[in-house]
Amino acid sequence: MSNESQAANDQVLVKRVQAGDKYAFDLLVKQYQHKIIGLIGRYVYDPHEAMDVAQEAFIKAYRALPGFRGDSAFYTWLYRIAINTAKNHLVSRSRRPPDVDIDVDDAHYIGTDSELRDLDTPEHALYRDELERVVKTTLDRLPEDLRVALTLREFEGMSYEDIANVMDCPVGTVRSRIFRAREAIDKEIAPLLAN
Amino acid sequence: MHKANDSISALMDGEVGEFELRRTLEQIEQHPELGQQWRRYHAARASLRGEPQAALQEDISAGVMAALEQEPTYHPSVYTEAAAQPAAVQQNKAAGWWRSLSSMAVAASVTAAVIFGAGSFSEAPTQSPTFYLPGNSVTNDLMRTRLGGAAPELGRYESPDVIRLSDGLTKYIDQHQHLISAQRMPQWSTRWMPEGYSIVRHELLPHGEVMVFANGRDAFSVSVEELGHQSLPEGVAQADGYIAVGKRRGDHFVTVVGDVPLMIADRIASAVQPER
Repeated sequence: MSNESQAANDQVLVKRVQAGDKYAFDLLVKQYQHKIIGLIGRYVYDPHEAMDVAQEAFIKAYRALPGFRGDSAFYTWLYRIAINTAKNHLVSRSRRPPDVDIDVDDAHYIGTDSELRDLDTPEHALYRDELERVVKTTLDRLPEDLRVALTLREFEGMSYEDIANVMDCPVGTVRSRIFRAREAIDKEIAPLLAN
Repeated sequence: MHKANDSISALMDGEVGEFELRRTLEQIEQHPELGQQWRRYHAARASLRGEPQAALQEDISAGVMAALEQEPTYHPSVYTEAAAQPAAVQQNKAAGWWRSLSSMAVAASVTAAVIFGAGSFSEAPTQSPTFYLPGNSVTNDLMRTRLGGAAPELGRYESPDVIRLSDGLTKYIDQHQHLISAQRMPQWSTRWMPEGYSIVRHELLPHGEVMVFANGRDAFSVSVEELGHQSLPEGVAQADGYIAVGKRRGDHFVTVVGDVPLMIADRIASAVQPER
């Protein structure tokens, strides 16, 4: 999915929050929490501490949301808040933030080979690798029409209408195929992500 | 629930309209398992794309939202100013259904204001008062008087020491007399409404009626006015998340306002009929 498409989707929820729908913010938290915790984990090495800092970052983001005008993508803005919260947390604990910093614009795509450490405890790595394996295996086993629809959506960032043109079927069928593909994957990964 | 899951998938892709978005958010709020599904869908997407994630078995959203319980809910009109003044937020701790109903009450009040005659509050007094309280001088259109005697115990209420008289308010006296003397019964009802809704208010006004329906969470109002007392054409308007549908019904004009889909509002308006 393209950055622009992701940013546009986020903006829909952001506007709902700004319009008074506080619960829409819950979806943004659920959507970004694992990435934010991973990002903060590059500064704050203790997993539980990193989750606390992530929670603090989301609360700060909510408080600052009235001032968010959409000049940058929401996740870029959120990542910046998360990084600053992590740095402030370290300073408040008399710990020195790392010299090597993360470019907030690249934070979305930073891999595990970054110079900064992350929360890659054996347990976390196991879950992440297992999740990735199950997702990809399930995708490969999907019926072709479902797999193609989801692939065009997730990797090519195509709209339902464009996918309908490519697959020569109604838009409603595309929507249904993508949903069924996600359902199939979700059925397999739900036990892994149960908290 | 299957339909909600389908909507969550489409919402991820930005392929839902405003109404479906609002409905999906409501369903997720009512059914926490849908929120977890949203979380897993995004985790799967990130895995497919090879994006870094951590603490996949944890969910901090409940803690965040619990902390935000004490935070203000942003209001659209405040947000407009908030860009220039970030600290400006409006406290709104009302529960969900009450918030909706309160919002509807505002909408209904606007409708009522139209019926009563909009602009009443902005009209400056132009005539001298038509009566005087004894022992007080009068200056132009403003009469001042000290409220003598001991003030009754009214808790923290403090009596004003100045009374301003406004002829414009006499129309509300007329309205009051109309309301308490009117012997007529409600003349309008709807023969269809969305499942779960029931009437919570039915106001008789000088030239029409206003009904408010609620389902404990959301609400909509139905105004019925004589055609001679408004000149709006039939149509639809949308503002601040509300839909307003106006339709002619014989020699009356029906307006449905609420946080409901357009098709529902239109069907409600079409279902308004005189009581037999």
